[in-house]
Amino acid sequence: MSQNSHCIEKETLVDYLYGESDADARRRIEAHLESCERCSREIRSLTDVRRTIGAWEPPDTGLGFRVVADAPAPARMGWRPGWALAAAAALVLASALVFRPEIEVRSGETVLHIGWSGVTPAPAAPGGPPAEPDEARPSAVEPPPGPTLRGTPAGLRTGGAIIPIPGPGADAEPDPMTGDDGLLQQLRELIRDDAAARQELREYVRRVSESR
Amino acid sequence: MSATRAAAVGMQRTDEELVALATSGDPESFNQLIVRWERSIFALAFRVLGREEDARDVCQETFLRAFRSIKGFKGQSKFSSWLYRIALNLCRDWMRRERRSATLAPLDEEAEPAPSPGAVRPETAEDHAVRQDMKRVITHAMSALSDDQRITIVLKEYHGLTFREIADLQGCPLSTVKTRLYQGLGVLRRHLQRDGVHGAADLVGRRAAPHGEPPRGAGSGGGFRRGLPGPRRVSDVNGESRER
Repeated sequence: MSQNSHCIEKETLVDYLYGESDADARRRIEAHLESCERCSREIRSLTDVRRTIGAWEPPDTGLGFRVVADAPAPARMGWRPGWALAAAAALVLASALVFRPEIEVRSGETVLHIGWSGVTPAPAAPGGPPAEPDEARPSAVEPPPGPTLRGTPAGLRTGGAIIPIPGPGADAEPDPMTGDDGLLQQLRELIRDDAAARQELREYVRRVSESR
Repeated sequence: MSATRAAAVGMQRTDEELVALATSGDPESFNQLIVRWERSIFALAFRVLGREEDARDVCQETFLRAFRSIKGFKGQSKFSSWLYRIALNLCRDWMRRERRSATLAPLDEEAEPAPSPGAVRPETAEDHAVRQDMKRVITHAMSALSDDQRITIVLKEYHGLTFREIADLQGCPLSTVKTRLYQGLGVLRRHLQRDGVHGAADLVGRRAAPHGEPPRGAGSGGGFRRGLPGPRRVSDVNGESRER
């Protein structure tokens, strides 16, 4: 059909095909089609193609977008420079060393929170980073009061980052003591006394907390 | 048209009125614009990109960007043209970023579920199979077009834009639009013929056939079903149909 342009210019043909020819041009084209089988066939063929592709419907998917607030656009990860990602990763690692996710064992409940861990160093969990000496902790931070025992169960270190940081003294209110709580309190005191026993007892406490 | 319907239509605000209200800080007016245009924008993105999920993303992002920049819309063009421009820019960005220009997904990934018996107008298995085959053939042909050809054909065939509007959206002369249309239709014709559609009359005859009536050529290796791309073989479909 490439010879078609010898009869009707393709732009003229497209105009006619889509009904955008003016009246004069339409009359001229139709007069030509009366005598030119090749052009008539071309028009019919392209019309057929148009009718065929007209059956292509998009999926009937649910949309229902709504504007609810003019919130700031969320940042796109793909557009952040590499140095920003590296800095963010470094910040997360540094935070993991200072803000330790901890388990607080109370009577009948176990609460995960993060904050300054001034009571005990984190135990050397399998595969985890080695425990830091107490001197490495910020000296200005006092151990949180209350009948709590703290440990850092393996696998919760990074997960703690998404937990809201409780304010100072959030765990200051002592809970009613139970038999288990009394034992835990004793264990906590022992931990303070003997650095060598600290690790072993924390492991015991961790097992107790995990068995609840 | 009933009086109630006429009254409802008369009360319906124009795009320009809704834009003016949205510009003055009324998000609900913008939501009405979304309701009015989201199907059209989604359809545009789907036919350009060929993937439902991507089309949804582009559609959502289009309205988000439009909402955020609605105060910059001064009515130089129709609101719909403005939306089309945003959506097409997003589509182009998507195609450029993903480096998969003209990769329409295989239809099998978008295959519709079989018609349910409780449907208001139940579609026979035969109709469903024919429709799915037709979509696969058209998708395959569309994937052969260049991005510019496909966008041009989509804007003209499915959205009814004028040549001038398409030229403005694509930033090209009128003659280029017409050339892309003509060449694009030629590409589609070749691929449709290669996939067994020798002319739309054959296909349209099937589409126009009453429900339950076997389409022309069914079971006899007719043109539409000969050499279809993709794993579905029509003989399987026919077999299922005959077993019912």
